[in-house]
Amino acid sequence: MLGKGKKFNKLLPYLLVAPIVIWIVVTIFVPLISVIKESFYSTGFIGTKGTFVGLDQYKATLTSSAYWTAWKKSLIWVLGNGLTQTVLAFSVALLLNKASRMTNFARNWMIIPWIIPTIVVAIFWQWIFNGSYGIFNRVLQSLHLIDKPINLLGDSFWSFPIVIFINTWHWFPFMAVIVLAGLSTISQDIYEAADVDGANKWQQFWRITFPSLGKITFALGLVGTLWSFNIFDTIYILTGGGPAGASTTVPVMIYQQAFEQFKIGQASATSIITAVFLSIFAFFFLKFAGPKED
Amino acid sequence: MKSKKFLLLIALVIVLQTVLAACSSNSGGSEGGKDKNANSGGGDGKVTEITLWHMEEPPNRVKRFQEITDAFNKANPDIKVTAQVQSWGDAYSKFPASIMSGTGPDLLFTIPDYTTLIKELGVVQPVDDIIASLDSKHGFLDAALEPYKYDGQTWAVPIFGMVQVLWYRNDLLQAANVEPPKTWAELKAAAEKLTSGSQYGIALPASKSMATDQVLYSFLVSGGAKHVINGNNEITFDNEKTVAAYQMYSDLMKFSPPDSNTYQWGEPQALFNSGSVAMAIEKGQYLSTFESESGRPASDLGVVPMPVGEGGEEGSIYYSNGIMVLTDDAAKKEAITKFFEFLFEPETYGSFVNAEPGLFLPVTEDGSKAESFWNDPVISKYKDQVEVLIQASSKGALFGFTDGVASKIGQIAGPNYMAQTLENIIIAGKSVEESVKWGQAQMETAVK
Repeated sequence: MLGKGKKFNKLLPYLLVAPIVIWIVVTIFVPLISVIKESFYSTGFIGTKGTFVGLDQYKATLTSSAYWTAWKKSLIWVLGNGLTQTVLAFSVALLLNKASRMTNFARNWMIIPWIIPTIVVAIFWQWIFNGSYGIFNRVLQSLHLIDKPINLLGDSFWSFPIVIFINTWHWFPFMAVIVLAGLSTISQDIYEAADVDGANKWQQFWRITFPSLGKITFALGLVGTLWSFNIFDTIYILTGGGPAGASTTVPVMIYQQAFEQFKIGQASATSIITAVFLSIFAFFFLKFAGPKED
Repeated sequence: MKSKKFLLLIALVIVLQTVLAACSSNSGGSEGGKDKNANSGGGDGKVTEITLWHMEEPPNRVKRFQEITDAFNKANPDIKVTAQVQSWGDAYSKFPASIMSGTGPDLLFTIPDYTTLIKELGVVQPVDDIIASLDSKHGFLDAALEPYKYDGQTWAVPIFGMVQVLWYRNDLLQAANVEPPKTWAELKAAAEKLTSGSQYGIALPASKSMATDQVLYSFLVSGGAKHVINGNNEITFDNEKTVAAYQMYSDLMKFSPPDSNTYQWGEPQALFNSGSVAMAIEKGQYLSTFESESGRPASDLGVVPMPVGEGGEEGSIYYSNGIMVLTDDAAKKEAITKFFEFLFEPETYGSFVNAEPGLFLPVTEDGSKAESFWNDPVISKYKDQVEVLIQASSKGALFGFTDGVASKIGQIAGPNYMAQTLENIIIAGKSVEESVKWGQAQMETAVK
C-alpha cells in the first residue's frame, strides 16, 4: 500500500501539469509542425494540396527584396515604439510615483488607452485623422495652419510614424504600470541618503532609480521587443500595410502572402525564417543584455 | 538564472506567435465531393437539414433572408434550411478550414472569383441540372450565369447581380449648369467644374482595396481594356487602353477629396449624401439611404451608365453573386433543388432581391418584371434609376471572366493588384506606363 502511495505521490505533479502540457502541445506545437511542413510545399489557397518544393520557398523569401524592406519597416517599428513608449512610460510613472489624491486618480485613469480594444483604438484614431471630417484637420484649419485637409494615414511618409504614435498611445500605459510597480519597491531611505549627499534629481534617477529597475527594463526590453515586432492588428486595421507598402512590416507581409496572395506555403517559410531570426535575437539579448546577478 | 530561463520561455512563446501567424492549413488534400456533413435526414419521414452560409451582414439583409428561409421551411416541413450569417472577412481564411474539416455549410454564398478558389478544394458540386430547370422557367441573364460556367460545368446558381453606374447630385449639377456626362471627356470637364471650395467633383477610391479595384475596372471596361487575363491565365493587362484608363483615373483624382487613398466602401457614399462631392461611381446601394442621409428629395439622385472613353465601349463592372452547393448527399441535393425552385418563383424572388433595394438586382428575366420586385417602396420611388441599373447589368463585365474564365483570377483579385498599380501612380509618383508594366509583372508572378 505504501509503495502504491509513494508511486502516486511521485506521479501527482505530472498529473497536475498534464492538462496544461497537453493544451500547449495541441495549441502551439501541432500548428507549428503543420507550418513547418507547409513551408516545404507550394500550397496556395488554404485547404488545397501543394507539391513538395524543398527549400525553394525559403530561398525565395531570403532573396526577396520585399522581405528585407519589411524587416527594415519592422526594425523602425520596434525602435520607434520602444523609444517612445519607454520615455513616456518612465515619465508618467515618475510623475505618478507620489502618494496624493490626484496621483491616485491619475493612476486609475492612465490605463484607459491600454484597456480599449485595438479595433476601437484604430477606428477612433482613423476618425480623428480623417481628411474629410476628422477633428485633427478641423483644428489645424481653424488655427489657419493649413489651407486644405491633410491625409496623414494616406501619406507615404507620415502614415508609418502616425501608426507608431497610435500604437504607443495604446500600449505605453501597460509599460508605465510595470515601471510604477518597480518604483514602489525602491526604498525612500536611499533617496533621502542621496539628498543628504547632495545628489540632484537627475543624478538620483541615473544612479538610483534606473539601476534599481534593471530587471524590469531587461524583461520589458526582451518581451516588449518581441511583442511589438509581432503586432499586426493595429497596423493592418489602420493602413492595411499601405499606402503603397509604406507600413508593411514582416507580420503584415506574412498575412498578405497567406490570405491575400493565397500562398500559404510561402507564408509558412517566411514565418519560420522570421521566427529563427527572432530566436537568435532573444538568445543574444539574454546572453549580453541581462542585468548582472547580485 | 531562473528568471532568465523564465524569460527565455516567454520569449519563445512570443516568437512562435510569428510562426503561427501563417496559420496552419490542412494540406492533406480534399476528398473530392465527399460529404462530411452527415446531418441529413434524407427520406424515412425525417427532416433534411440544410445549412446555408451567407455573408450579407447588415440587419435588413439578415432579416429578409431569414424571412425567405422561414417561408420555405413552413411550406416544406420535411426540409429545414438554416441560414447562418458569416463575414466576407473570414471567407478566405476560415471557411476553407471549416469546409475541409467537415464543419462547413451545404450552401455557400459566393462571387465568381471566390468560386474559382473554393473549387480548388474539390468540394463544389456542379449545378447544371438545377440551372437547366430554373433557366427554362425563369431565364437567367447571360452576364449573371457566364462567370460560373467553366470546365464544362456550372459551379454556382446566380442569385442577384450588382452593377456600377455614375451617380450624380442633380441639384449640384444643375446649380453648376453641368449636364450628366456620357463620355470620359465630359466626365473630366464636369468633375473640374464641380470642384470648388470645399466641394469636390467626384469621389474616387484610391486605396489598396476591392472598392478601388471595382471602380478601376469600370474604367477599364468603358475604356476598352476589360480583358485583364484570359482563360489560359495569361495576363493581358499592359496595353495602351489600360494605360489610357489609368491616366483618366489619375487625372480625375485631382477632383477627388485628398483622403481618397484611404477610402473603403462607405466614404464616397457618405460624402455624396452630404453634398461634399457631386459624383461617385458605385453600385445601387445609393437608393435606400439617399433621402434620409442627404435631406434632399429623391429627384436629386441622378444616375447614368458609366461614361465611355475614346475607343471604349459601354459597360462597367458587374458582379453576379451566387450560391455554391457543397454537398453531394442525394437527399440534400433534392432538398436544395426545391429550395432554389422556391427562391426563384417571381413572388418570392423579388422580395429576396429587395433585401437591399437597388444594390441587389434580379438575374432572371421574369424576376426583373416581377411585381414583388417593383412593389418595394424604394424600388417604386426610384423606378427610373432602377431601370438604368438593370440596363447597365446587361453590359456588365467582370475581370477574369471576359476572355474565357481565368481559374487564377483570385490570385489577382486577392492582393488588389489593379488598385496597387494605381497606388504606384498616386502615392509613389511613378508614370502611368511604368506602373501598368509593374502591374503586369506582379500579376504574371501571381498566376505562375
